[in-house]
Amino acid sequence: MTDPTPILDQLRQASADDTSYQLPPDYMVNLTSDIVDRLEVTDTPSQKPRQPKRPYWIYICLLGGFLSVMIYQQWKQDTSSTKAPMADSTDEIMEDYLVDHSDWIDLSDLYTVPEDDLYNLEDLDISTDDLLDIIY
Amino acid sequence: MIQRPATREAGFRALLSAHQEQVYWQVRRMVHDHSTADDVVQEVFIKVYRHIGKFAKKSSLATWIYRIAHNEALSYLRTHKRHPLEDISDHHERMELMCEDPYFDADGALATLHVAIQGLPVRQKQVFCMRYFDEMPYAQIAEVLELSVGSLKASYHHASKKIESSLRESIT
Repeated sequence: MTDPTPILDQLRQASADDTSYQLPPDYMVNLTSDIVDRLEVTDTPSQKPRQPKRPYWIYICLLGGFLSVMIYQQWKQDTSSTKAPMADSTDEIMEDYLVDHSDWIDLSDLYTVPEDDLYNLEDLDISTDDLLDIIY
Repeated sequence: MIQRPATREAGFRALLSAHQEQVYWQVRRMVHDHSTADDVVQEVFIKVYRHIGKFAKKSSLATWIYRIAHNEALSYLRTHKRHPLEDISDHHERMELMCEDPYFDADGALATLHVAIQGLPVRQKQVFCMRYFDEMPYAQIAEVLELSVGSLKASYHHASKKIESSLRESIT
C-alpha cells in the first residue's frame, strides 16, 4: 500500500500547471448566480425537527384487539344460534313423549283441588285423546 | 447564516464561494466533461441548500458537501452512462472520446494520466483523484466515501499501479 510511485510523483509536480481541463470564461462567477437563480431563495430550507417514529406496535395491538373482539362476537353469535334450535327440538321431543305416553301418566297429580271435589273421571264420557286436548 | 431567513441568501452565496471550486474540480475529474460536471455541481448545491437543516455536524461542512458531491457524481455516472469511458479498454479510443469535450485539451504524459484515470473503476477513480490531486488525508477521504482507511489504501494502490503501467506503456 504505497503512496505515489516516483513516476506519478514527478507527474504531480507537472500537474501543478496542468491546463488539460479548462472552463468557459467567468464560469465560476456565473455558477454562483446560476445556482441562486435555480433556487427559490425564499424557500425555507428543511429545518423541521425529525418527527419521532410512531410506535407502530400500538396500532398492531389495537388491530389485534379489535379482531379478537370481532372473532369472539362472531363465535358467540354462532354458538347461541346453534343452541336455540336444540332447545326447541328438546321441547318438541318432550312434548311428543308426553303425548305418546299420556295413557299411563297419573293425571291426578295435575289436580290441585281436594280429591273429594273432583269429578270421577271414569264417569265422564271422555276419551283419553279428548282429555289430552283439554289439557294441552 | 443560511438558517436565518434574513441572511439566507448571503449565507448561501458565502458557502458557494468557499466550496464551489473544489466541488467542481472533484466532480469534473469524476465525470470528465464540463457540461455534465456543471449539471452535477448545480444539483449538489441545490441539495446542500435544501438539506442544510439536516446537517448533523458529525463531520465538517466541507466533508458533508464533498460526500453529497461524490454521491451525486456516482449516481449520475450509474444512471446516465453518457460517457462510459471506463468500459473502453483501448487507450486511443478513450482519448478520442475524451477530446470531444471542447473544454479538454491535453497532450503528452498529462494526457496519458487523464486518460488512464478515466479508465479506472469509479471507486478507484474517486480515491485516486482525492488523494493525488487534492492531497486529502485518508481519514477525510474515509469520511467522505464512508469507507475504511484500509480499503482506501488498497484502492489507491491498485489505481496507482494501473496508471503507472499506462504511463510506462506510453513512454516505451
